[in-house]
Amino acid sequence: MTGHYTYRLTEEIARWAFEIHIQSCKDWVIAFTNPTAGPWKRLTGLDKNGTTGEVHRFEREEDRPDLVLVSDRNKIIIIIEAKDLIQKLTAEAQIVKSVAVIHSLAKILRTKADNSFWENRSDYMIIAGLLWGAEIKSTDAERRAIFSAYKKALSFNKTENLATLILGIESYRDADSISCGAYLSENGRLNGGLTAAELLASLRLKAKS
Amino acid sequence: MKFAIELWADSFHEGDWACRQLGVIAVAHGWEHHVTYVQGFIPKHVLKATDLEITITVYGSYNSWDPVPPIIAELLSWGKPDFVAYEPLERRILFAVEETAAVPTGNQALQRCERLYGSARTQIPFWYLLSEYGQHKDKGVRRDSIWPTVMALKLTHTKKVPCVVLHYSDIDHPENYSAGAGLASLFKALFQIIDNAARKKPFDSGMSSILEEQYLGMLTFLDSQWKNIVDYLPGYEHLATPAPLSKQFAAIAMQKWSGRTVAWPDKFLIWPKVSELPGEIRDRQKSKGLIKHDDLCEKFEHDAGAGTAYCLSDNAGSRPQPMDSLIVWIRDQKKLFDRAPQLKPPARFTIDLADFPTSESGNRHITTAKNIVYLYDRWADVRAAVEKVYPRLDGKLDLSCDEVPALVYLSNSIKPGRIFGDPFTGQIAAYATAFGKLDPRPRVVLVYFPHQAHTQAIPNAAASTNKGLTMMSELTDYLLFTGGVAVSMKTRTIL
Repeated sequence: MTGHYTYRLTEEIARWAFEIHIQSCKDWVIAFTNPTAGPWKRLTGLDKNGTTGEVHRFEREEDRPDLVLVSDRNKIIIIIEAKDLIQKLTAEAQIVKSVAVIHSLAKILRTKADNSFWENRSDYMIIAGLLWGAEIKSTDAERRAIFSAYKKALSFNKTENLATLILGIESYRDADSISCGAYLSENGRLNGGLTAAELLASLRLKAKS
Repeated sequence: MKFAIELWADSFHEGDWACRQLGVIAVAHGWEHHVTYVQGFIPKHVLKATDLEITITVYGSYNSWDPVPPIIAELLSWGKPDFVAYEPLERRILFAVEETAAVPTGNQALQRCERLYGSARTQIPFWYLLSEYGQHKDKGVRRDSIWPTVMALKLTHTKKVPCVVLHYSDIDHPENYSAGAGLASLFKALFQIIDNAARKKPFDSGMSSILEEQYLGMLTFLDSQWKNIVDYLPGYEHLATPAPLSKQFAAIAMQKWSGRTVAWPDKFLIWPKVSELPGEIRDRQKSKGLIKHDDLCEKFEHDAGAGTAYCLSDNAGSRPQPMDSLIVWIRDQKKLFDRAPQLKPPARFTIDLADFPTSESGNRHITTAKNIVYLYDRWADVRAAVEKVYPRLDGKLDLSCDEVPALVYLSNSIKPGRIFGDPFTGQIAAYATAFGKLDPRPRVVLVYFPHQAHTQAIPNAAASTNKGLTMMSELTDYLLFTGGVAVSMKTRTIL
């Protein structure tokens, strides 16, 4: 309940709550988000002068991810697929679609070295992210299942520079607010030397178990 | 003094972005602006002057909330504007806005136009912000269509409320929000409206110069662009002196508040009879060949050559479709057609793949005539053409309006399920308004779908809330489908 109105924890709200969280992370910028309309339907980057410009424009009918985050400090890109419920992300057709979207964009971003708004970001490591809303916290079993399903479906070839680690983000609604927590498919060190814990610290997220 | 409004938006991004634009203006006025997020996600923007504090709370993603204020729910049933400012204490909408980043090519600019109509019909001030210039896939730069602007001018007059199209970008910076005057002008107007509401001032306080400037922009755009779209624009000579005309439009837009009646400029945007067309335009009218044959389209073309109707251009492009898709669409249309009870007299489904000519690339043309709009002097001639081609409709169409001028709009679409959605709903709203459905002598509007089955328009519980059906019930008279099955939109009956 907020004011006179109640709300459903939709995909839009789950994603938006995480975007608000990201605004407080100085190392991360939102390169792309997928609301229903507006000037956000292009993936953008910053050039050397600090000017924002277009890196990639999605075709009208093209499947697109829900959120793309970039950290120049960590040299990492996170491509995120979002749903209002974790169960929806584990539906077979959704896994196929989400994996295709992640691979497709990863490939595209690797070819953008000539774009002055992207340049060496084309070499950044890419992490697949899954974001869901929750009114009841997800269980270990649900998270193991989702990470396992996506690890099986994703191909971790070097040309796309895709990390084997998958990031799970839960926008959890309690009585008073929505808070974001993170889950990792595995611990340890990312290819670039960053630890999983350091990644979460830069995202100002606490690892949940 | 404290004042609170709610900004309902299609997405949080839209609403939050709008508040930040308002914040820029507030800060330029020496106010403070800050934002907090209630419950971690609901943006609450505070604009603070020395004597006034305005709070704007954003409710993004309309469908996520319950209850949606009834006045907003009603507006949304006509198509969802990107954001709507609502004053909860008064239960009134201050304004509605549609903005788009889409490249203004093809149907893009028109496919949101039902939202202009939805707002104007209940006298909600409406602004449509879109790119004047956009880069097409072929890398060429295109300029916006005139029809949203014409529609907005006519709605301003008919409904006596601001209905404004604003453009951002310029030819060197296509699709760039920060180029062109539109973005700043939009939020200047919205800020003024909110400030007026907060200070209990009338709506038109401080709005004259803003609206005059905005209408001047629309008229200047129209003057520079209409010749690229149509061969003739009624009353175009008024555009030579746009400044007085813009004052006139601003006054019309505020008539509801000022109480001052303002006359419509003589014949401006009122499409004449064939005999009243300039000689050279009239002489240019002739029957043109079809790309894909259709008996009724051939009649329309014949009538354009015979002087009972006219067209404004013949630049409807053909976008041939892959044969595989076409086979599926024809099969699905047949299924839809067969789903209906037998009609009296019976109608036959005759769409056949062989009738769609093959293009150079091996796809199939679905475009029939090169025109999509025919303006008839008399409904009787439309009726005669329809009855000749589809004798089953003989005696079923209204005779009482035979002498009334008519508009025929042609949609060649064949993909099922699209007629009451985008882009056709917006496009039909734009054309019906621009070409005279709301004129002092309203045209009878017939929309012809030669490749669509009528069953998609059968009134039922689901369809009754469909925005397209709602809009077409007000802005069209007949929908005519394949096999010569018509739906009367006045009575919602199948003929």
